[in-house]
Amino acid sequence: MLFNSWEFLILLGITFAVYYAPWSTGRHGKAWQVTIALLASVIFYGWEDPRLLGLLAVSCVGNSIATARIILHKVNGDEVRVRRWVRLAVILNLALLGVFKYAPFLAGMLGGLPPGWVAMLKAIPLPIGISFYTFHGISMIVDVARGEVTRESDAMVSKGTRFAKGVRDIGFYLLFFPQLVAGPIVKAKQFWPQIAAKRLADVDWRKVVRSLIIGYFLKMVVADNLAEQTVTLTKPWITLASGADLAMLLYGYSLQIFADFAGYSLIAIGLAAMFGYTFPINFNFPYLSTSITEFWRRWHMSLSAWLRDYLYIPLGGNRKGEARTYLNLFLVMFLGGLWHGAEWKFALWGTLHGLLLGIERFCFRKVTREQAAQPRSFLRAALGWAYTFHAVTLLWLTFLMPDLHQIELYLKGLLAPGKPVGPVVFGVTIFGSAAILYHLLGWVSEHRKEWLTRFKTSGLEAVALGVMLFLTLTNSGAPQGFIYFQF
Amino acid sequence: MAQEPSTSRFTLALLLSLTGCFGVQALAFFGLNLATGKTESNYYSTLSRFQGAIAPGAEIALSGSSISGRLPGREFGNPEVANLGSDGGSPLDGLTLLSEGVVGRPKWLVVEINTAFNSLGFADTPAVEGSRGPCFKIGGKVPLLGASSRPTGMLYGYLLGRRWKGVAEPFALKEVPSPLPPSPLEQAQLTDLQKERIQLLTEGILKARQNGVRVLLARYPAGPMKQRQIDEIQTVAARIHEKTGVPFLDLESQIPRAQLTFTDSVHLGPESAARILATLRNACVQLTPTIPESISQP
Repeated sequence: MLFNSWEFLILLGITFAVYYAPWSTGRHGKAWQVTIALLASVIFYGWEDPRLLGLLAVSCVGNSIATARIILHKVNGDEVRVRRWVRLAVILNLALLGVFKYAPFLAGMLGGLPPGWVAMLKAIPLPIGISFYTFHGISMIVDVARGEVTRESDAMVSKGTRFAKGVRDIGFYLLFFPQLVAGPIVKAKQFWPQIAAKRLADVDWRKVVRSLIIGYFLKMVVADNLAEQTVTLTKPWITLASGADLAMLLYGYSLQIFADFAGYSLIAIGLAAMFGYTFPINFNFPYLSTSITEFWRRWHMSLSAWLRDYLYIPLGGNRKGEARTYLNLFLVMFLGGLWHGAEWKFALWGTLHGLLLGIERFCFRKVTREQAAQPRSFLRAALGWAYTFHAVTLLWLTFLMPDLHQIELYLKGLLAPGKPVGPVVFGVTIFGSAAILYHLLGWVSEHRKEWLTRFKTSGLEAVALGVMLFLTLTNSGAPQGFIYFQF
Repeated sequence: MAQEPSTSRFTLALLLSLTGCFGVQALAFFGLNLATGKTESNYYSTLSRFQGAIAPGAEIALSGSSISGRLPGREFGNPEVANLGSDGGSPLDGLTLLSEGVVGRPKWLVVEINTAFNSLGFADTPAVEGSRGPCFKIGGKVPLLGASSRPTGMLYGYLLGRRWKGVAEPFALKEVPSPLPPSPLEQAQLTDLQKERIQLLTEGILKARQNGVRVLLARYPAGPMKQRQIDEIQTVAARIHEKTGVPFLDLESQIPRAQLTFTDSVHLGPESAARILATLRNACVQLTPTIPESISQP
């Protein structure tokens, strides 16, 4: 089910009404609300294909059992068994991802497999959101083992009803529908402490309205309208487009993918807030970055944080010498790229980002934190921004294009003469400028805080939100799925 | 430090802003007559034509691709023409909507055959899918939520400057209907998908005729084509005529190219499009006495 579908709006309305039913404030309020949200999440996930629920149930039950065992051994002080269970659970989570996401990819690479096996492996469908709920599962296992989540310990080492309640809460963390299929990747230590009875009076409506209106605007107006133009990039008739068209379309795609995913994340944040939960922000105006290093601190922040906490730091981070730091950086970006999809193009995309991160690290290795914190000259900031935006935009080519041949066609086509055509110029300019304006607001929020305060206090913010709501109602693009759903 | 406005003031400002936007849109749509059927979006250009065709009773409906889509229909304020041209689609889209009752029944239906084999092998186009959803129906009833009143669409249409200027002079045709060309392609030379498409078009046309719609097959003037494409068009015309008996009008061969203008290599310019439409209406009037209003089965 998509956030921008009628079915979802109906499900949301019903869930919200029942979630805050008058009896939800009673003694069993938490149990009621968690159960309702869990039920809505199951409907949300199983709407298109109920078979997918089986896999989700396996992940949920498996992670619950592992979590219970880890907590039990932790309470008993048996660290050896804790580590053993962590290893097992992480391997099983990755195995789930491996079978459903990477088996078809590996089947194509491994020689000597019988053709029937290859065909069977390639026919395995990719369950929607598996990359996200697997990462949630791993986060839960690791956070519990590290002792960063203790609240549910007593329930999980109990038996009977209390254990069932513990499993229910774990299921809630893994399945909660705003984050289920495309994040933000909320860590267990961020989410579990929030599980409690919620009151309607405590809902931060301004945050809800802000997040939902901006989120839907970015997705339905900016991303979906840009998508209708940028689809040309992946089609055979790319050869008919002029170089100017192709350049505009790639800029358009760069803004589209931002609007699509940032929009989704904001909708998820707004929905969670409606139900009394706080999700971390996932995008912090990434196209304001003046280096690739900074870009990764602003883009898909929950994935970057996950990779840092559960991969980069366990690999040794930057504590084991320069050479190892570069290797770790490369590995994290390579795997992060591959996480997006089981294709070499994603690995290439991650690796090229890793390469740029490595180069930046090498070039600025003598710059101290204090020096880095100093304000830069306008020229240096502008050059840094231009380099970052164009590098990131060019690298989206490897992310977007179906194969290397299409990238080659694109690069050759850039030299083709001709004027850009009307719909491309119009579409990219109008809808792209909305994403640029959004970043301009981000710049103001970082550099001219008093302007932002004035913007909010004068009521201009509410006026701007009204305009965005109007455009969402009247000027959405052709309905499209969310780009990150495929990962 | 200044306080953010209270929730009630915030809500009021938001609602006032929303209302103001709808007011400006209404002014542009009703006051400045900026409703458009040609937007920057193929999807919404098509939906605006489809929404214009919801009401029954059009004198002519045009079923085809964006080539038909250039002819000014209700979405441009021409009340007698329901345009079912589907950008990137085929005449099957319009026939599907007619047969499902999504759009109203016209007196005449002109089926464009230039693009009979467009989007072969795909399920319904996004525009056909979109026309089954609640947004389409709401947009058909509430003009300000319709596809022809999208703010960026109206701006694009305004910048493009393609307005319908009323009745245009028709081209003089030598033969109405045109003599049917021989079918250059044998059955074996068509792919399975092409055979299936001819079958679906035939069924759609028969169903329209059973419902009392007179049907005319038309080949529009369009850009240069390869011989294979020309053979395919002639084959489609011959096969469908053979199975349904509907007349065929070859505008491509009867109108000198020098008298036409195109906006690109395929699509007619606004003046030529208006003249082609007038020509079609003349042809329909001429053919009316000879074509029965409805059939049972041929």
